[in-house]
Formats: sequence, C-alpha cells, structure tokens
Amino acid sequence: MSLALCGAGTSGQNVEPSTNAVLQQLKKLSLEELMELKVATVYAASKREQKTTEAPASVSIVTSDDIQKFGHRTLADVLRSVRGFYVTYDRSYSYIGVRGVSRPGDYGGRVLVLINGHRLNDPIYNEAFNGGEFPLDMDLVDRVEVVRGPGHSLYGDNAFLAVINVVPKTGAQVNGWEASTTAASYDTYSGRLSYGTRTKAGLEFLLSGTFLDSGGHDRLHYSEFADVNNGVAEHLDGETVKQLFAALSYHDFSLSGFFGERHKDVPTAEYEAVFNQGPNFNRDQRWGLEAKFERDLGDDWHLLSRLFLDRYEYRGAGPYESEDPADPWVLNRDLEETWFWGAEAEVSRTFFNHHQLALGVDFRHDPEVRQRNWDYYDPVVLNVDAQSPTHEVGVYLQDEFAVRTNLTLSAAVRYDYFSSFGSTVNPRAGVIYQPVRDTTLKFLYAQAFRSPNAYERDYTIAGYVGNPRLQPERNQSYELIWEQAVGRHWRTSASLFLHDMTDFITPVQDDLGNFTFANLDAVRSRGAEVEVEGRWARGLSTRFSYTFADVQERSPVTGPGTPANSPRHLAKAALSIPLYQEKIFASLELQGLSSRLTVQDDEMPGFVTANLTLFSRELIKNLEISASLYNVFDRRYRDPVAGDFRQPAIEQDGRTFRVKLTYRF
Amino acid sequence: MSRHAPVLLPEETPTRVPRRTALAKLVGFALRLVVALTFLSELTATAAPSPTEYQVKATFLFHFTHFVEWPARAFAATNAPLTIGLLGTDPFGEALDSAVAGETVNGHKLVVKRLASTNELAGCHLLFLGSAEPAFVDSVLDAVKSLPLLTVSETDRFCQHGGMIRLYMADNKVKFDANRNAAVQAGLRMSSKMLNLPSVKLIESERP
Repeated sequence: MSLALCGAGTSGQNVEPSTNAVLQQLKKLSLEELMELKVATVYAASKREQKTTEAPASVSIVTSDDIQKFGHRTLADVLRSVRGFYVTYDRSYSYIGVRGVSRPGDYGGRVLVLINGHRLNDPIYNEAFNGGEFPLDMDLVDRVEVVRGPGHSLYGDNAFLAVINVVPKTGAQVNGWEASTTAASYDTYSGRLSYGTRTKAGLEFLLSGTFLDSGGHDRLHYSEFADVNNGVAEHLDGETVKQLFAALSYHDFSLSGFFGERHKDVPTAEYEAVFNQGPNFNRDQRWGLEAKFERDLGDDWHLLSRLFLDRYEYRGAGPYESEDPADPWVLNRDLEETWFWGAEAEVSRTFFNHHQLALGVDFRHDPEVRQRNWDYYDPVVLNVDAQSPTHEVGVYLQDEFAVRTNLTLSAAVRYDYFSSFGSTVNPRAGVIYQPVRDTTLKFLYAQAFRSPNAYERDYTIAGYVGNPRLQPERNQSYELIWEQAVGRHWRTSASLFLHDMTDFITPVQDDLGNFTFANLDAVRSRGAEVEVEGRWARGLSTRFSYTFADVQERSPVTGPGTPANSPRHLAKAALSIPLYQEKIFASLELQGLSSRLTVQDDEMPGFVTANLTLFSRELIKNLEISASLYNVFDRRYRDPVAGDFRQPAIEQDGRTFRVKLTYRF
Repeated sequence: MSRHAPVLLPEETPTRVPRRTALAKLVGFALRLVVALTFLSELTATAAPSPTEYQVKATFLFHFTHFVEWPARAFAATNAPLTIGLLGTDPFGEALDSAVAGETVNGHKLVVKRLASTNELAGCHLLFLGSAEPAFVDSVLDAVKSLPLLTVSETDRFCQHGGMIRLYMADNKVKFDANRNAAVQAGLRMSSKMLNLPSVKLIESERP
C-alpha cells in the first residue's frame, strides 16, 4: 500500500485496485482486532514507522503495485523512476547516482541499501547493489522506501546521500503459491516460485526462489578496440542470477534470510584485460541471516533488537596479456571473501505524549575481510593477499518532540567508533511544521560520513597501492522541503538542497606512477526539485518530477570543475491508465537526463527514454500478464564509466522487451 | 568488483568450461525448489490484509454505525439512508466509499457525503472532522450540539471539547477515545460492547 502517494497524509490517498478487497477483509475483523492491527507507514526515515509527512526527510515510496504496472525488473529500474535518482551501467555493475553525484570509479558507498532494515552494503567495496546482484526479486517487494539526504544518525556508515530500504512482502501478503516466468530480449528467461502463508495461530511464513539466465548481446562493438576482431566482443554479455528468500515470524519474533548470486560476463575488457576473450566475469554472492525481536514493553516502552550474520563473496576472472609469445593471454583471478556479524538494540519511549525518545546501540564485527588476487601460473603467483578485519560500534540518541500538534522538532546524534580510523560524531536536526492541514514544511540539517572501505585501504598490486591512512568522507547537508496536497487527488512537493561534501576519496597517481587513494576532492551538490503527483479512482495515476543539480568539484590536483557523470537536469514523467475496469493497465514512463561529462571531459549528450508496459490481472482468474517495451524509441545513448575502461562511455541497450506471466494457486 | 591488474608473466591458459544451457538450469532449479517448498506447504493459509491508516479508520467508521443507536427522529423514513458526512479535507480517498458500498444498517443504506461547510449537515448521522484547529472544532461542536449526530475526529482532546469519538494512532495502531455523555445528550446510544473494550478510554467533556 502506498503511503508516499498519500503524501501529505490528508488527500490524494492512493487508491489501490485492491482497496476494496482490503476493506472486505478489514470489515470482518472486530473492533478489538482492528485496534491491534499495524498500519502501513514509512520505516527508514526514523527507524520507526511513521507517516511520510511526519518523517524528518524527503521520502519517496514505490509500491509493489507501481513495480508491477511499470514493469520494473530490478531495483535499478525502480530507482530510475524516483525523483533525483539515476543509474549508470557499465555492463558489469549498476551505480546509483543521487542529485548529480555518481563519479565513475567510485563504488556505491554513498548510498545505503537495506532489506527490511538489514544492511546490504558489503565491507570491501561498500557496494549498494541494485542490478541483478541485488538479492531480492522485485516481485517479492512490498515497497521501496527512498529517503533522501543523510540518514547517518540512525544507520551509520554509508547513509551519506540517501537510504533505500526495500521492504519484502509478508507470508500473508503472498498467501498461497505463486509461480512466475518471464521471457525477454537477448535470450533472457526467468522463473520464480513462492509460497507464503499465515496460520490462525499467528505463524507467518514465506519462501521464494528465483532463477534468471540471460544470453546477453551476441556482439557488442567498441571502436576503441578496433584492432581486435574489428572491435566486436562476442558472447561476453551473459548473466545468471539465483535468489532465495525466506522469512518466518511468530508474534514479536522473526527470522529471515536472503541469498543472491549473480554471474556477469564482462564484454568491455575493463582493467586492461584482453579484448574479446573469455573467461572474463564478475560473480557476486551475498547472503544474510537475521533474528529480530520487537516488543511493546508496556508503559509506552518499545524494544527492537536484531542479530545478524552475513557473507559477501566476490570472484572475478579476466584474461591478461602475456609476455610469452607462445601464450596469447594468462588468467588473473580475484577472490574477496568477507564474513561479518553484529547486533543492534534500540529502546524507545514516548514521554508526556510529546517526546518520542529512542536510544540505540549497534555493533558489527568483520572477522574476515580478505582480498586475494593471483595469476594462473605453475606455480600460482599470488599478487594480493590482504586481510582487513575490523569492528565498529555506534550509539545514537534521537528525540522527536511534538511542540504543538502541527510542529515537531527532531534531533539526533550518533557516535561511531571504527577500528580502522577512529571515532566520529554526527548530528541531525529538523523542524517539521504543518501550518494548515494540507501543507507541510520541513527544514533539515544533517551530517554524515562514509568510511574508507577495505578495497581503498588495503588492495595493493602492481600499479595500485592501498592507503591505510584514509579518513572518512564527510557530508554537511541542508534541505528545505514544502509538501502540499491540492484537493483530493493532487500532491506536490518542492525542495531546495545543499550537500557539501569534503574529503572525497579519490584515485591519484603517486610519485612512482602508482594509483592510490587520497582524501582529496570537495564536491558540492546544490539544487532544487519539484514533483507533482495525481491519483484517482480505479488506478489512474500520473507523476512528474524535475531535479536541477549544480555539482561542483574542487580538486587540489585538477582544480575546480564539473565532475564526470553529473547531469544538471533530471526529468521524469509517469502515467498509468486503467484501460478496462481495474484489470488492464497501460503505463508509460519517460526519463530524461541532460548531458554528462566523461572522465576524459568529453561530453555525452543528454537523452530521453520511454518505457511502456501493459499489465493485466484477474482477466483470467489468478493470472497476471504483463508485456513491457523498454526504450521504446530505440534511443542510443552512452553512460560515462571509470578511468579503468579504455572506453570513455559504454553504450546502453536499445529497444528491448519482456513478457511475464504470474499464476497464483 | 574486479580490480584485475595487468599481469606480465606467461603461463598456462585455462580454457573456458561450457556452461549448462539456460533451460537445463532453469528446470533443475525449479525442481529443487518445488521439492523444498512442498515440504513447507502443509500450513493452512488465511488471508491477512496489509492496510493503510485510513483504510483502517474507514473500517472504524463503518463499525461505529453498527455500535451506535440513533433515535428514530434522526431518519426521515425507516428506509432513509444513514449518511456519513466528511467536513474539511477528506483523508480517506476511496477507502470510506469502498467500506460502505452496498452496506446497510437496520435497513438504512450507508452513504458518504462530502460537506463544504456546516450548513450542509442536514441529513447527516455521522460527522467526521479529521484533524482541525481547536477553535474550529469548538465552533463545529457548538453548531451541532442538539442534533442526533455522532461526531468523530482525529483532533487532540476532541472528547474533552465535547466530541464523541476521537481516533488516534498509538504505535501505528488505530485506537479511540469515547465521550458517552456527549452521545447521550445528543440522543445517541453507544453500545457497551464498544465502550468496554480494554483500550478504549472514556472521557468527559471539560467544556460546558
């Protein structure tokens, strides 16, 4: 159910086609049962559930209904539709850009991605998974909460520019068996089987598995490699994804686990590999288990605690030039393995009806953070074997003080200790004022950091030197937000933002010509965003958003300038129309980015892409059918990529399709 | 994330292992999944909704029409509709319309009416005020004082101001306070089934 869409919480309440079904269920409950029912809310902004207008942040929510109607395949697709966000793909990974900030070669550590509050960013690259490597099937997502600005005071590391919390469906929502299959361009096929239930006794259970295999492009042309096979990489774009998700809950106690493995062939010969030569692949495996206990302790006390065990493993392989004329190439392998576990506890209490106070502690231990790289010689030559075990502790205190019914002050402060670089304290403050019912004004200040990751600190190999003395990056962020409901159907929001970031960890060449990382650049993103959203009965909805982001980079090496991959203008439009009752919908999305610079300072022109999805449900009982065309007008465009590529930018897919069938039984 | 560095030494060249076909993998995976899931499917399923705040609140309004007795004079005829009036911004969207669609209470069809002002109150039986400034609440309550009208709001201290039912959120659950005497004065009878629920707080008017 969509809370973002009811925005101001007052009007324009979202009309899910299932409203009727939900109400028929609700009416069967007694008053007493109704009073025990938790309602849908946004969790990620304050680590407790609240209305979006009351959240001390600019929040967008994408619901499962949106995901189905617009044919979003991955979290990256979802984020492309969200105001202020863009995603760059280099045919290995997808990178999340926020308000003009997504420097090629920087990993995703400036956005925190959570699955139901469980941290996904890994200890080595801090990567914010959002493509096929994101471990949850989009069909299992109940909603995606996107919280702009630093969420550091609650979540710690990586909650630097945004926090994205993906909330899975519950067993009761799936309620039975579900089988789904897709076929898409480039020999892409997938299958999913899920089972979910809730017993009368209150035991809730969900299990789901997904498998996807994509042949990818048979031929990809890169003119930079014209001397090899005429610049064509053949059969090097395949992808395989395996995902499992399980959740079990009983009253206050829940257990859940996720697993995701993705194998992606690399056609681009990144990192100076031999072109048009396999094997060249990345394989990421990520899993996590957690036990959670949440309880009302009486007297307005509330306890939330969590224990987790996680693993991330990366395997990479690539062919490299050999000096021996008898051997055209030699295989180089990467293996990074991490184990980490930790615990969190938070107690909160409402005092005098006005103060919602929360005190939290979290702890994480990464006993194994190991990076290895070797060459397949006889004997094998080990180039890298670095261990970077770390631990960290965070303590935070948050108070939301309702001064009046329409005025809330929110303040939080967090202390962190990292074994790798020491301690840091970061505050946050906000004022939320509702002068009249349909109007909400928010002023927010927050400070955040991103810690240097194990790769930046410890990976040393010929040509690259790690820097263990790196300090965290910092962000001072200010945002002024005006949210306005207009009549029953419209909701608007406008904001001004300033993210003042310093000590950006930037690759530089040292005196010996080796690449290393240093806290160098300052990056300032300032701009404005507007969004207009309309919702009517029977599922008719529309949304427009525009972001202007002026991003300036000040580098002591290269001087001031505009950073690479930073579009000044981002515009999006979405329209979903019920064509026949509430059974067939046509949904159109337009996404436009203005021009971006490459790392080499060449300009990549801006573009607009259009995606169209026809979605039907219950036309045939229990069957959902959808057919999507992505990039309908076959627009050719390129995404700027890291300096480790010979190509300054990588061409993206033209027009592609997907058809999908889902059957419930 | 790969960071292959260029390597300059020659040696053996492993060949690529052919991958199983997509279909074979898909079938194998699906079979394993079916077996695993079959073991776990013996639990009986019951549907549970995932409601929004105002879907739940709409359901409360629907229930209130069953737990409150209106005097006969409140209805023009025995089959006249029972009208829920919404004053001010409508937070329900379609939820309230869905909740009452096709429903009757004691032969009275439930209908929803959106009011522009208190002048349009005639024929209403339940008035929902949403949240509003205390001064406005007082003026509305004064205006409807003698009418057989069940007043419901989300405004703080609504019952203390002489309103009958206040809906509020606690720990993301919807709860309510009730003012029995205010209802009695308007000629309405609230069922004890509703008032005796453990989490319902009974409140007296603090205003004459």
